[in-house]
Amino acid sequence: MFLIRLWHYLKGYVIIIVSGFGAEKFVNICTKRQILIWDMERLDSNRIQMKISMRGFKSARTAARKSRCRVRIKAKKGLPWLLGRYRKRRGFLAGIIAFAILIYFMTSIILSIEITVNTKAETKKLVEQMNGLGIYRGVSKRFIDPKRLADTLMINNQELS
Amino acid sequence: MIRKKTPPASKKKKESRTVREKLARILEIPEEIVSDHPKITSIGRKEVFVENYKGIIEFSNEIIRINSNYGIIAITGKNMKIREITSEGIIIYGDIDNIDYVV
Repeated sequence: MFLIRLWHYLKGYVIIIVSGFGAEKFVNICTKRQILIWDMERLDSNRIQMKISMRGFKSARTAARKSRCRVRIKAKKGLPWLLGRYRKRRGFLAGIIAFAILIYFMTSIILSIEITVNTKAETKKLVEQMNGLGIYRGVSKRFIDPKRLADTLMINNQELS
Repeated sequence: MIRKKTPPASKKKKESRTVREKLARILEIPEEIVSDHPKITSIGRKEVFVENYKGIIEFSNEIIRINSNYGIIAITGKNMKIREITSEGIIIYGDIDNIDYVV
C-alpha cells in the first residue's frame, strides 16, 4: 500500500470534488478510459470527493462535460506540482546542486592529519614518512590504500604497533 | 433506464457463450477467467473486491450499487469508501453489512 501511494505521489495526482447527479456516470466514463480513480468518498447528497491521476485529470474534462457534472479541484498533490512551483527559481536548484557537489568534494579529500604519539620528534618523523608515501593535505582519498600504508609504516618503525 | 441500455441477448451471442464455457470446461481453464460473470472477493467485513463489473450505478457511504452481467450487486454498510476503481475491479472499504444480488 505504501509503495502504491509513493508511486502516486511521484506521478502526481489531484483531489477533486465532483458535484451533480451524474457523478457516478463521470466515474464510469473515467474507468472506461483507463483513468485511475482512488479514495472515493461521498461528502453529501450530490458531491463526491476522489483522487485522480494527473494525466487522467486532463482527459477527465470531456467526461465531466458528458456526464454534466461540475468538477472542482480541491488540492494538487505530488512531486510534479511541487517541481512546477520551483521551476522558475533556477538559483534554488543551482544551490542544491552546488551543495551536493561541495559535500562530495570536501569529504573525498584529506583535510588534516593528526598523529597521537609521545614525543614531538616521532611526530615529525612520521609526517615526513607519510609525505613520502603520498599523504599530505588536499590529496584525494581515492588514491590511498590504508592497509598498505599501515603495513609500510609499521615495517619502517619498529616502535609502532 | 439501465435496463434499456443492455441490448437484448441475441441467439448468436448466447450460443457462443455456451461454446466458450464448454471449451473452458474441456481445457480445464477456471471459469472465472473465461466467463464475464462478476467475481466478488471479501476479506473480513472490511473489504470487498468486485471484478468483472460493468459500472457503478449508485455510490454513497451507506450503499453502493454495481451493475454486472448477472444483475445489480448492492453492497450496504457504513462509512463505505471506494479505495480504488479501475476497469478491472472495484475495491470497497468500510463496515460492510450486506452483499446482495438485486434481480
